[in-house]
Amino acid sequence: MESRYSPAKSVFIDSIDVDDYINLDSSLDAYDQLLHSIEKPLKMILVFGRPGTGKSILLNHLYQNKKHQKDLHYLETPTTNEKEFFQKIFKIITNEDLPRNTQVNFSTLVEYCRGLRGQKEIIILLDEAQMYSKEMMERIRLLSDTRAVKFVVSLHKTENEDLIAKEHFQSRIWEVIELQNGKLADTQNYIHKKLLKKNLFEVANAIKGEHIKRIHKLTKGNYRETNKLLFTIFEIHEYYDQHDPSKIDYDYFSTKIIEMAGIKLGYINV
Amino acid sequence: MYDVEKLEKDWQLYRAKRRIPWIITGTLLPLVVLSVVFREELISIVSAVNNNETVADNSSLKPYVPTMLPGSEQNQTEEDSSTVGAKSSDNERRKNYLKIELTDESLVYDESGEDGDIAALRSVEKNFEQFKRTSDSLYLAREYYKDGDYENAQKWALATNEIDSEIEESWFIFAKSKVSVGRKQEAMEVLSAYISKTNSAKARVLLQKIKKGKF
Repeated sequence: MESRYSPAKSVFIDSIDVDDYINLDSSLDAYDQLLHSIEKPLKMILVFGRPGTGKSILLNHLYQNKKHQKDLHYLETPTTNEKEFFQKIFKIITNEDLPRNTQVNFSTLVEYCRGLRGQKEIIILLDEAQMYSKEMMERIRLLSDTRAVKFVVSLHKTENEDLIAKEHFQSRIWEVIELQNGKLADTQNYIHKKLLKKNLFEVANAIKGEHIKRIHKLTKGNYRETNKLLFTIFEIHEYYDQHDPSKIDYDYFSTKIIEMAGIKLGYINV
Repeated sequence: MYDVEKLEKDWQLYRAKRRIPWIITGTLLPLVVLSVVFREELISIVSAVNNNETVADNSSLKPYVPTMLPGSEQNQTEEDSSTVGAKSSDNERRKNYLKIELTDESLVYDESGEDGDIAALRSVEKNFEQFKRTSDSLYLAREYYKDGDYENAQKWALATNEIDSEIEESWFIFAKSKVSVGRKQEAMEVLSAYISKTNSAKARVLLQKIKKGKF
């Protein structure tokens, strides 16, 4: 028999599926800012933040909402092969497939884009741009200079922030949107809204403020880490539910199990 | 599925470790509070211990004697008997006496003049008879010497040395008293015997002075 905690566990499987998008105050602000930025005559927009702060899901959310209103394209998975990458760009810009056994002539592509200026505005969302090589990023910059193509680039915020520091890139970034880990209220809303979205009211009610505090402290408000921790918490609940129900209280979350999950994931060092 | 039972044991270990700072705080905090609340008592205990541990070097012995309040001799005697009486010679050897310096007005309680002095000496003599404390006998030797009563000074210095032959000052009082009554040779013999036993530098100096008549 399936445990009552199995659906709760599934809620927190980490994904960037737009159905999993949760409206939080902080994410709404970022979304509005991004929406406003793509309306401006900017060449490049940078979305950056630590892994797990919601960059990918934000871009996906924007794409799903605006793809029918704008010439918007989302390259979710970075293509490290330059030839393949520019084949995709070619198709986006020209709406045509590249003939077989041919490759993009980049200079011609740039000239073509200059010809489109004023007629079309193509917006390309590039996720995980830290995966692209320096040469590819340089060509992306050149395409953005044509003003026919606008790029929204999402990057991991590294310790050195070396990509942002590079001069040739820095001058092209006209707008920067930084995503940060959620505050305590964001973590609370995130967890409750995710559970309520799947009609798991009783499970949501069992998680009190003190539990949220503990979870927030362990994950530092990072959404990916929160997903991992909640998934593990419900996995342990599921185990006890099936093997030793006396160890869990259905009406009140267990701090012990939160800490056990923290130990399992390495947030707590025993 | 990972080993939840092992995870539970790890959690118990984690919890136990988290309690350690609280246990330490819970142990130390009452001690700190008690030390603050009973600070005065602790200070007095420490100072009493320090006084007890004061061991006078033979060559720098400075005998101290208790002062006695008028009319309180009996009470003091009774108090002393309850605390010190039983310790007698062992305590004397450990120099377990009150540290109160004698001044020219040493008999602080002396409000009645000469009668008061005599009464005080009598009282100390009585104490000595009861408890045989060198502090009392030395006090008497010193007082009689100061008063010019050299016979009594000798007597009490001798009484002191009989109990504790290492009290240098009593030797000096004894020798000087001898000289003062004209028994210079006896004084030199006494000092020489003391010097041969202790090799005391101060005794040598006093002996030289006596020999040269500078005393």
